[in-house]
Amino acid sequence: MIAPIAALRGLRAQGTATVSAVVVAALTTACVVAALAVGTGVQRGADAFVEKADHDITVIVGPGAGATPDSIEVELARRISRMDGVAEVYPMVSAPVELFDYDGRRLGDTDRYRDAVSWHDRAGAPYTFTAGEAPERRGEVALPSPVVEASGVLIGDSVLMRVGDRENWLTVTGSFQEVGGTGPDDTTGALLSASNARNLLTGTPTRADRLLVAGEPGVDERALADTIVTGLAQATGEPDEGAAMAVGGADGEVAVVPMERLRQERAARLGDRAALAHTALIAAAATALAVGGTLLAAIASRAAHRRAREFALLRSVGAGADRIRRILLTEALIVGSLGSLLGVPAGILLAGYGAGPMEALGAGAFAGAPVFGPLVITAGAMTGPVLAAASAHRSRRRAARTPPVPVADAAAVPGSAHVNAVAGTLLIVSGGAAIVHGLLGDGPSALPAAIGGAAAVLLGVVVIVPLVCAPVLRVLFAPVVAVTGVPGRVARANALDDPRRAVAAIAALMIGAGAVVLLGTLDRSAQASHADRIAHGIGTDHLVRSQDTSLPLPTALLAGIEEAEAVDRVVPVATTGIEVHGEPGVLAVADTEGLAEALGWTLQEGSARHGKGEVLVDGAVAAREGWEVGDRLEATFAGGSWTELTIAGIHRANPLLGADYLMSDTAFERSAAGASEPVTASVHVIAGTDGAEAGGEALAEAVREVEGVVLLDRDAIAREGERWSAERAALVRWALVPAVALALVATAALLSRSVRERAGEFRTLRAAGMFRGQTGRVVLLETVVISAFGGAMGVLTGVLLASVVQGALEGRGMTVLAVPYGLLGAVIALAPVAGALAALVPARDAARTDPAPAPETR
Amino acid sequence: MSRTTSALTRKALGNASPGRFAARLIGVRKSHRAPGGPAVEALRGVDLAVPTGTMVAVIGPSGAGKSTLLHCASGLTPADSGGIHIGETSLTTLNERALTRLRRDRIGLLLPGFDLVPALTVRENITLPIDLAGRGRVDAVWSNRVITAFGPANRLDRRPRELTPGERRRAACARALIGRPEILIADEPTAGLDTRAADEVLALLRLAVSDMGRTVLTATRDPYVASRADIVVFLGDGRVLDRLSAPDQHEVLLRMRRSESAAPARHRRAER
Repeated sequence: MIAPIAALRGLRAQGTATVSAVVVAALTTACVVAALAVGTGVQRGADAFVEKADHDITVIVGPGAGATPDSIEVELARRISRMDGVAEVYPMVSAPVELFDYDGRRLGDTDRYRDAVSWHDRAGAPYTFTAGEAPERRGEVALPSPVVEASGVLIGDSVLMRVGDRENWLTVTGSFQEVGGTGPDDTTGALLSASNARNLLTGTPTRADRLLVAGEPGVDERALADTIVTGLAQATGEPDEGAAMAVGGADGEVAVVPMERLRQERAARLGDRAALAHTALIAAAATALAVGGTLLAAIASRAAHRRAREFALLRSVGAGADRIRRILLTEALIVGSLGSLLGVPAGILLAGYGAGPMEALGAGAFAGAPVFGPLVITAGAMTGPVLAAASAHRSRRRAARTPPVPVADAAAVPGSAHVNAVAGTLLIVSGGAAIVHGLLGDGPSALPAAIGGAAAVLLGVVVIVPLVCAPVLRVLFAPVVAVTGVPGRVARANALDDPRRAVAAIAALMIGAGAVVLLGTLDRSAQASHADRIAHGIGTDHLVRSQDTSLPLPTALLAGIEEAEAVDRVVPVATTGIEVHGEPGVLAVADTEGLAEALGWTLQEGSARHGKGEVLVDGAVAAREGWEVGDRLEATFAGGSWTELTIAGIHRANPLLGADYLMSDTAFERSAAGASEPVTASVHVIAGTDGAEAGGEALAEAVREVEGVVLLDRDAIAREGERWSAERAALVRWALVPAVALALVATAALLSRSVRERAGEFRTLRAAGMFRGQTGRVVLLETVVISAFGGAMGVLTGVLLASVVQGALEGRGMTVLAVPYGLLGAVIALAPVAGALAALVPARDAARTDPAPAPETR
Repeated sequence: MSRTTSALTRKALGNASPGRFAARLIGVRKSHRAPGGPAVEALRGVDLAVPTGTMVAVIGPSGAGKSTLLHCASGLTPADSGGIHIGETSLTTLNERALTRLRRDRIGLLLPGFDLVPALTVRENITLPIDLAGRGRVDAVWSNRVITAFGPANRLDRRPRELTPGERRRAACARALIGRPEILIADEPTAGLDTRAADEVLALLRLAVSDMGRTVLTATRDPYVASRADIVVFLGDGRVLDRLSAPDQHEVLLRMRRSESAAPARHRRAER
């Protein structure tokens, strides 16, 4: 019982140090709780979407490759609804629209169109109405909740909807939250009643984009698709060709697609988005833990340093080293527990704001509410105590070594510079070895080894900073002392006299700045790699693709493209869903030679030649799964049966391909008997000698009359990459918020405490004739120089780590290391500014120090 | 001291020639209020004149108002009422900045508890006032004399933590005198020092008066320290109770006991 009582008294006596530690522990816990809760919510949201959205739909009937979009006659719905096994048929219509409020202001995003979609009241509709009602009559519309909230439009207000050159005034009946979609591109802009949508969006009330067919309970998707194909063929008098052609989207008037394939593709694409969001959240939590741990260690080290006399006294009256350790461990656990106690509710509040970053990451559309399950709460409750106890480990050991004799001065306690030197060197050397292994090695352990090594180097630098701190600070302070005189000299003396305080702030800012630079450099490198690929690696001059990737490009359009003037080569890419070892993925079916020319596709190992039962695998997927050439994969094709595929080759990751697996047409036909036909939703066009411009004009002519098809030139393809880059930038911003916030709060807390501890010193200075402004400048200058050092160290380590990670990711598409010099300059410039901001209040307190001691303190 | 006598003294102090006194306090009142507690009158109309070139010791028990008196005299704390003059300068008319400049240029301060800045070397601590003043007119002869006489000569480039308490106090004395102040104000200059170190510090203070021509105003509880002054002022319950010129230790002790027994009951209760 003595340890807890002594610990409580110790914590009370430390005052601001205890408060600072509790605040840091609480902030760290809040970040971890929020990241875990939002991450779990994202994952569950994605899973729920894949499972529930359109769960009532069995088959989709859309325009076949031989038809044009919106060519489905609504009459077809009536015929299908009478077929066996069909419960309901929903004719769907959608079209890009623009919306304006009564004052003519554009609603929603200004840089892209969103689709208006027909609303059907069905169980699998991926919408939840948050206010008002669904649109049921002519002239009614429902808008997305975020749009309503941002624009201030009220239910009952009128909005103008523009479709092409047609304009209609509509009354807002409600707002909805979309639980479906696969990202910002696919989010719904407005809901209209079914008949209204057909009138307003197509201009032809008898036509629809596609039919969603709900089967009766227990009906087999494939069997129902066959039934529909057969039924439609009989009706049109083309029994044989119809049955063979229509299913899966080959040439024909209609494509009858079982939902299974769409679900597999959705699962794969949503999985990627969820993984990106998850990575961002894990990065945010890890950064918060790193910064929080460093700061807690700094606070604990400083507190132990200050309490050397107390420990010596305790030792002299019979307390053993173990008792000192127990007292400090109890203190750390109490601080951590208090931090968790405050941090868990704070994290719950913080998670409420998680929708913003998730939206930015393209996961907002399916992000479920944050999940505060037992795991998340337990993790939050454990974060504070474990982090505080672990961070204070070295301080405990040091305090336990305090000799049981009166300590003349705190500085007389044995130091640990040699331990720092050894530990730092070991970490840097072992980290360097891991980096080399990661860069030179291969297989699934390469990337983790490189990144782990980089983290070890970073930690080593943090450990070794105290040793290099003094000479560097002397150099940095030289011009400051020359300009500011005595305040600068006192600031320098303070910084050098108490390296723990300086190192704590340096480490905090270094980690914050390092994280900014690391992620910023990686982001810029990804952009540069993409631009480099567009500029040098790919031969594609134009990309023609369906707006809805589940529907094929019309055959007539393909023929038109091939025959267009100045077109040298056409490389169609078909995609379909595939499950490998139970994990959903996307399989591209295309000619590898064509891909090499169009997308700069290259083989990493193995052979590009492959036949029946063989597949090519994306390098990133192979590295992640630890697969090698010759490995056998258990695969299930969409609409097909289980089969075994052998990896014939592994190709370098190519983001432009957008698939995990690749097969040639021949290999697919021979390997995937009975599977759904892959959908050719995109075609890469390589212009001939006449140049891309002429080819572009010819293509634009061919595409102009076809709805639902987009034509992208090289610039537009590059811009798509930039949009992804913007999403990554959002990731960077949100991942860094906790780190930067923690670093600033902790720096301010450390400074505040330092000013209180040095109150006597400031009194002496004031009594000796130092003006208030000069006294404040002492704190300000000290912090600014220390922050500049921390920022510079952060920039150095950030660039170093970024180069390591880029090297490790070279085989996965990050071929260029692009250093964002502007960002580096901004970090170097802003680090002292951030330090100065954190020091404003402490500097003011120092300046206000009364030169006479308070009567009660004499 | 009767009310009439006090009024006469006050008038005499107000009319006194500024050159005769390094510091004058006329009817100074000061009260403190602890947070949540009642106001406590620390000084109740104190009149005090410190003749130039003398050492004046203010003696009294704890809570008598000695430190408050010195803080008011040095401009560290403003008085509630009354007049305070350093030479011919009235402190009551000065703003914060001017008071700081006054402390830097004309007053040497030796305060207990926070005498040296730990991060600076001993030499930097000693030269702090003239460095702060940014004076191009540093009197090198004076500086060397002060440092030689007061500074721990072989430890000037060490940090204060490496010095003994006596050496630290010597260095603080040196810093108080380095700016060639008109008056050195020292609060409990020997508190916490052993006999030898205390003797050294007292000898230095006397040296500052006799050899360097400075004026010293000090506060102490120790009759021995007071007996080394030229004038002893007995303070009790915020009032000047008695004065003694050319004191000896025995006489100081006797007068001190007499003053304490004459102190109001309220003060004695406070002491208990």
